[in-house]
Amino acid sequence: MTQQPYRHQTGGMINRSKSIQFEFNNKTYFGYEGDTLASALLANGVFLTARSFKYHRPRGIMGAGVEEPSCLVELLGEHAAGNHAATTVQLRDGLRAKSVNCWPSPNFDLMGINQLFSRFLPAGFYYKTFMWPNWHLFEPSIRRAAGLAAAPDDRIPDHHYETRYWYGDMLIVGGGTCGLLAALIASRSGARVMLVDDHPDLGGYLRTSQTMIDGKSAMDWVKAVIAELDANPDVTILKDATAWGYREDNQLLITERNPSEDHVFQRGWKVRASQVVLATGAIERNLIFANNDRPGIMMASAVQQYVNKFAVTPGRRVAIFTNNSSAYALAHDLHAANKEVAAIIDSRPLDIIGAEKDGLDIPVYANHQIITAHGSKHLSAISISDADGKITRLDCDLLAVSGGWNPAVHLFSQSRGTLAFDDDLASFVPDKAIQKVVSIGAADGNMNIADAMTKTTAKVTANLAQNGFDCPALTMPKIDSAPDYNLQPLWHVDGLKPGDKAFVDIQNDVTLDDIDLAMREGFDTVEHVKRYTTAGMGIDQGKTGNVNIIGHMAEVSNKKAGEIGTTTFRSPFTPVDFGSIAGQRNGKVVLPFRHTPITEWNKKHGAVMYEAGARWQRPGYFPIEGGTMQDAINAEAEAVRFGVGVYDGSPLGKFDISGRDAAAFIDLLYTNDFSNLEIGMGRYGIMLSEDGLILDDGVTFKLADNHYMMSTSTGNADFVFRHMEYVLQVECPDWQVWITPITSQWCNATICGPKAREVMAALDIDIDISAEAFPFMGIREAVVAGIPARICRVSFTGEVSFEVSIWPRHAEAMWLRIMEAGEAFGIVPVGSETSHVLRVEKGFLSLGHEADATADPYDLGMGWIMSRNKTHAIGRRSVDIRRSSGKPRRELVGLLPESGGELVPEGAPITPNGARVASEGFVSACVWSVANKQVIALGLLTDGRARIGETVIIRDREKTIKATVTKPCFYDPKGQILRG
Amino acid sequence: MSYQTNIKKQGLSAIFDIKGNTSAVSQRISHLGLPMPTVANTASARDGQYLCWVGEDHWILLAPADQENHLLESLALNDPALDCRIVHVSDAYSIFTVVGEQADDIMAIASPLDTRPAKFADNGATYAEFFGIRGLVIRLSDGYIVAVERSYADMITAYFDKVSTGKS
Repeated sequence: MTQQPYRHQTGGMINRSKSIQFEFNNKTYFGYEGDTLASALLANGVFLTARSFKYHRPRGIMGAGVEEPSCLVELLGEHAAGNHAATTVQLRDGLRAKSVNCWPSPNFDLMGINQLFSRFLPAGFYYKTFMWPNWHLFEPSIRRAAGLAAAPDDRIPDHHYETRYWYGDMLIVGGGTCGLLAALIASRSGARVMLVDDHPDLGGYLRTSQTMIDGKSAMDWVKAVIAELDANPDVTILKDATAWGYREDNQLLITERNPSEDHVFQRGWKVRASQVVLATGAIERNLIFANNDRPGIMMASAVQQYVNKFAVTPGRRVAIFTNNSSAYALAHDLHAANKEVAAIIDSRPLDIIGAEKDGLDIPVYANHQIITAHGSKHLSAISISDADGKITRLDCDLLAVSGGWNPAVHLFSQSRGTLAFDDDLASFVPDKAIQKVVSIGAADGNMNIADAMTKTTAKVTANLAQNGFDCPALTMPKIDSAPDYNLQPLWHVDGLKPGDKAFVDIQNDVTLDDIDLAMREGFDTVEHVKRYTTAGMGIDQGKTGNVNIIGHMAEVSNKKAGEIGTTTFRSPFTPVDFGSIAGQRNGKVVLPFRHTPITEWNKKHGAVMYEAGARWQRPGYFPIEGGTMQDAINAEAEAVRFGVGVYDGSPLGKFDISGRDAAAFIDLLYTNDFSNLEIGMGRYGIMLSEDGLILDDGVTFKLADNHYMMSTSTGNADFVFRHMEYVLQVECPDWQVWITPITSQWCNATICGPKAREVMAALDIDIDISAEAFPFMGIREAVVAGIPARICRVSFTGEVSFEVSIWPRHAEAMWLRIMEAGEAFGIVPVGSETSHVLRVEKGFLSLGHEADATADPYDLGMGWIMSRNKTHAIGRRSVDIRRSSGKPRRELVGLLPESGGELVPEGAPITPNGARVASEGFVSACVWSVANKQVIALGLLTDGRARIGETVIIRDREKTIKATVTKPCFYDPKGQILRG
Repeated sequence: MSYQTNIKKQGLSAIFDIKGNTSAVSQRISHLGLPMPTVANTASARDGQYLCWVGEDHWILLAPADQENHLLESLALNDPALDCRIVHVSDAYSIFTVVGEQADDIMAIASPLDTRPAKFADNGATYAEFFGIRGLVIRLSDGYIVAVERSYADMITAYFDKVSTGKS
């Protein structure tokens, strides 16, 4: 049952005592604890694991870590996620995964037919082919065909993503030799340190090599360092975690894939460190020859990892193709594991090949190159050529390739540090840092471990010293010297023919031909080539291929590779679950929400709740049994018009404004005058932005000398607060004005309707509430039902209204008393839908409807509010300048649509004769009026006030609706009722 | 709970928003015996009262609920003769306490505030982002007091439940 034909009998860093069952493409397999999905698949002999992005060519696993360009999988079940490299997925019980970009399976993929037409699908083919008659005609099908894994549908039960912040003295990215050494030095200095590595275990290259440190296995040194770091509470170690984004001010974004807490699925870290140390190592690059994408062709370093760490040799007869010394270590390791190595094909001349070949009893084909790989769904042989063009065919089922090493400079580049081309490495290395970051080890281009460790010690010690930390002297570990890294660049093999599928970017199916085509067509900068060919895009982001492309471009354009430069390195460095970015902000709290003390009562009484501005959850309406939403709204509106209703007005924005310049300040904010307001009275005002457009409206009451309470619209309260603070701090810094938001300090139950005064009286109020003693726009302190309250006489409904404001601690009690006292008068709770109906009947403006950020008070027929009694009000000058042009404006009007009783959608355009031409206005609000027993609407119409009585045409998608233009008030136009 | 913390929504506290110049404020609250904080974003504390210096010429006074009436009377909120303004805002806030061994973990999830002792010492008090909204954070010896606008209390409770247990 657990047969794994490619697994060694012994060895590796896997736990053979724990067998793990998993599923891939609906088949069941077994691996071991410590495996990745990739290593387990290879152990089971599953080599054909994917299809390529464009041509749907057979693909297998090529890498062993984040560099994997080929085998992306979709994870299913409770860990559902899309587009993870199989090499980064840790094996766990019950894991289910499937290949992406193939149907029905990678073995038989219907879209594989694309291979037959590949000569018609070169780079940029869709730019040229699908332009006529219209790109959008083809776009959906192309997108479907080109997609990778779908986003998972299911939520993860009882697990959640988490994000958190961390601050410290030093962040070290990479837990290899140099990263561990840096962490050790920093830890001993007393610094607060975080060490991050994208593997489940630390050690980097040492995990998979036979290196000795201080005469012992290198992993003994690794374990000792980890033990010391673990014992220091100021050191945080994140394993199986990828630092994928480098932002301003040394902030790095990290995703931790398997946090220790059971309830956390993945954790996103936002880390800000005084100093960042990048020990990200280097990534091996591919070699470019025909059919270099066949399953069975892998990176040499990956094969070395599978052999040493996972005890898997994914082939029976191995060949190695290299242009550098590093791949020989694999040959040594395979030899030690008693695996057959058929040949080493080395593009370097024999005299350059040095000590790396010592001790190997393997044919070395120096100064040879692979011309092509053979086999369709799996590698079966290679053809190699010597310098004279003599071709030899070698049978093999595993080819390990190494084109040299690219320092992993992605994060350094994201930090906006500059890169320089190193001729010895034939790759880019960090140059000038912009932020507080240093690169060490292979990430800095140091390929000799002993040298790299010496330099690491010097760099890290100096950096800690700059930050005030003393580093105790460190006994430098002695590491066996490896042969010096030696490379001769080979951007592609010689003798490639047009049409050869020699891939420079495995993930995006970009061939050398594509690069040549792009350059022939004039796309001769690296950024243009990237965009035209898609090379270096996608999940891979050019990890294994970009430098080869740059090298080839340099050849073609007769420049140096450094002159070609690199494309911009972008985050994320590896695919990241959106969930780990969003963190805990999902489900119920995906959006902020605010409640009033009456929210629970509203819910208990069946209110349909939704957001009504500034994240406040408010009752939209209270459904009635057997009735529609419109029935419920009509019933509530009729109660207010003909009886009494009450609504929870708590979300209304409220500010306490005081100070000796408070009156002048309010005068500056509003277009009308407030400095002559009497104590105990309020006034409606309109606030403009500096460009003379309506910013907000509301009523401000004078409570005492130099003391006011301003109310604002619900949705704009925060914005108005910012606006006021800006004006105060920037425009009037010497004024004495204090503003305190009190929105949540005062709840508000608004009793409105012809019987409102009777309900107030029934509440046992201790003041005279007659119209004479307590007029419209008045404010009074009172005791209502035994509760201290502020009562305001304002009205948004057009009816007699009493806003009863109390501290929230009393809100529920007050609400219950109101409902009790109002029962005899038929009081009903009213939702925001009904408030909307009532205000439309009155023609009261609403922000976002009539005041749509293009309107000024004149447009809304409120020129009377533009006071000329004062020298200045914010926005007034802009209004005057704009209106002096005399150009026509859209003005507020009423509309009586001939819609047969149906509501007209808000936003519906009004066009001349109903034609499909530029609109002359729009419907800002439309309701069924209980007062008028018909559909009424408000709208903004060009020169509207001069067109009262005209018939205009509203467009509702394919329909047209006639409407008569009226004055924008359908109820009590003189305002006698609300003043009653 | 998966994190070793005790998170509790507290009842009403007496809270006052104080604005004005330092000498006027100092004089206005002198009868409380509560010293003015000398460093921005810190609090002075006495008998359960905290005076938090949260901005330029801006303080928040936090006290046990049973002191509210006394404070309402003694602070002379509506006396315009004094060169500062004190606004009663007890009901505008909901108070949570986050205490216990892993209180810092919860804070690291909830807020970008740098809570390292060197940056946010034992008497630290500041407004900071807290689960996406503004919260007043005060450091205690074993955790934190967090005051958020009352209307967000249910949301903050939901967040705390979620980050503590993973269940929403």
